[in-house]
Amino acid sequence: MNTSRKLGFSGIMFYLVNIIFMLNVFGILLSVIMNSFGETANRGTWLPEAFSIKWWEYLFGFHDIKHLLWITMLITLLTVIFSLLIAYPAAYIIAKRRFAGKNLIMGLFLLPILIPPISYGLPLAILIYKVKLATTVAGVVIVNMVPTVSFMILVIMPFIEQIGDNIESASRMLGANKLQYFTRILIPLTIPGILSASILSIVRVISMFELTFLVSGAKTQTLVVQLFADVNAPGFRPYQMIDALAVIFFLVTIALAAISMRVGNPTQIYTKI
Amino acid sequence: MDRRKGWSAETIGFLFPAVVFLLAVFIYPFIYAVQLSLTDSEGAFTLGNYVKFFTDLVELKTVWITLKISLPVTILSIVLAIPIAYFMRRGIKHEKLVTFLMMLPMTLGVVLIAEGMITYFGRNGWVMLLLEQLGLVADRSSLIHNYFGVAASLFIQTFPMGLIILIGYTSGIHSSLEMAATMLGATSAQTFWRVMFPLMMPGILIAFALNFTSAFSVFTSAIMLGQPTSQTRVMAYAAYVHAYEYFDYNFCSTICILMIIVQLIIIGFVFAFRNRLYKGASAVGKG
Repeated sequence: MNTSRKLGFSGIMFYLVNIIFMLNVFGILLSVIMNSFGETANRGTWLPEAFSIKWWEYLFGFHDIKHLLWITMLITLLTVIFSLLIAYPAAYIIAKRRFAGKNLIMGLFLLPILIPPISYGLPLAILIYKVKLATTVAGVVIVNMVPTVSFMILVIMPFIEQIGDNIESASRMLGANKLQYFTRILIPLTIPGILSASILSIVRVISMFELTFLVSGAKTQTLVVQLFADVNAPGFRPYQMIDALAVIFFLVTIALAAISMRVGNPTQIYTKI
Repeated sequence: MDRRKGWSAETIGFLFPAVVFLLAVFIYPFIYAVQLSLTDSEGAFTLGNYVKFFTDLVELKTVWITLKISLPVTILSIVLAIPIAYFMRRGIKHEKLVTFLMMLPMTLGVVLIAEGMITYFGRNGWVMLLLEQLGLVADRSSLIHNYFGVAASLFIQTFPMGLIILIGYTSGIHSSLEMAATMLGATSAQTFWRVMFPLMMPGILIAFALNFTSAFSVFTSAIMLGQPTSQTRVMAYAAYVHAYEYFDYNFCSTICILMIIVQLIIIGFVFAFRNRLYKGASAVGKG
């Protein structure tokens, strides 16, 4: 393996583009955090003229933050649990069995990831309204499950593929039935895959905006939908308060994303496509 | 691998929940939308929705606006991602951390980034402040609530995704091919253009297709950082407004169907084209 490497054009581009890109991303995040602690609206200074936590207090009086966090957690966990129950058996079949029309089934599983949520989300939302599930927790969970089921199948599949077939044969020979094979052997052996798929999905669902936005109501708005609503609300809402809400959302997401880095690689599904 | 090719009871039973779920909430809404788009509010068959879309200049213009935002952003994001993915083809120091940071905008989602951009690129934001102190602008003005705001936000969202896909492909190209080219006397430019670039092509196509389809349905940033009623009235926004403000589900479905058709054509074209490219050597390595 060639280890010495000249910087070259690609190296210059790597550092240049990444540094500019990340400086801007950090600038965006940092200016939100700074602004949420500003006493007055920013009038064009690098730092707020005076620091204060009054907008944070204002935020907690304006929104029911506890309810927001609770509903976000509830919807995310329900989405991930139900998606996992559906995705795991499907991932097992895709990983281990050959059957006619497998490519077609694979295509069905891939499409919700390839087609952006707003394109299929609007017709789906119309249907959800029609069956009177809109604004309910069930409705929000169902729409969020669409891309999550696909995503989980793709993440879990390689973990099941790695388990040798002889283990299944051996367990069968020793008298285990299918259920015992699953509960005592396959599931324990694929715990890393289940964990990885779950935590990556949690991060995705929390920041998934469009689908929740289209079907949620006042009581079922998640953090990210509330953030959007505040920015676009008619009438005046102090921007420092919105920034404070954004900081809460940022902290929740970044904490979960940091955990997800420990158990899985969020980039892996893109190499499977 | 089990050699049975048939549909065993197990195969059917295990696939059943996932397939039925996606048929019910992914495929059926699509069929339902096709049906809605081909009927009027009374439920009678009509092509009127499509005729209206292609003859009403306000609606037709959304296609142009959407393309004007999504195509340049996609091209720029892929062109910039190619040298970076090439540089990272054999791994870099702290790769996990670097990819985590690059993926941050995707992880945090479009709403948070757009919310921050309103402050950051706004009239009193840090970008304007910097430009002013460098003497590059005379008067402060807002960089957002226009075409630039939406395009910049879209770039921040799609660039990491394209890059990740490309890195996956490039790191799968075996280094012996590059070494062979160098040993046979190719310069580094020749090695790149004659060996690496053609092998990266399938990845470039996939990354382009995925970035373009997601940029083509730009919605959230067009509202938060643009002027959704005029300058950045993109297709997804128009579809949304027809459903949620005018309650015209038929016309909303028409726009959605047109968007999905465009996206399916691009994905289908790229996948068909990819299979015709040589990919033997790039099939090894991590993936």
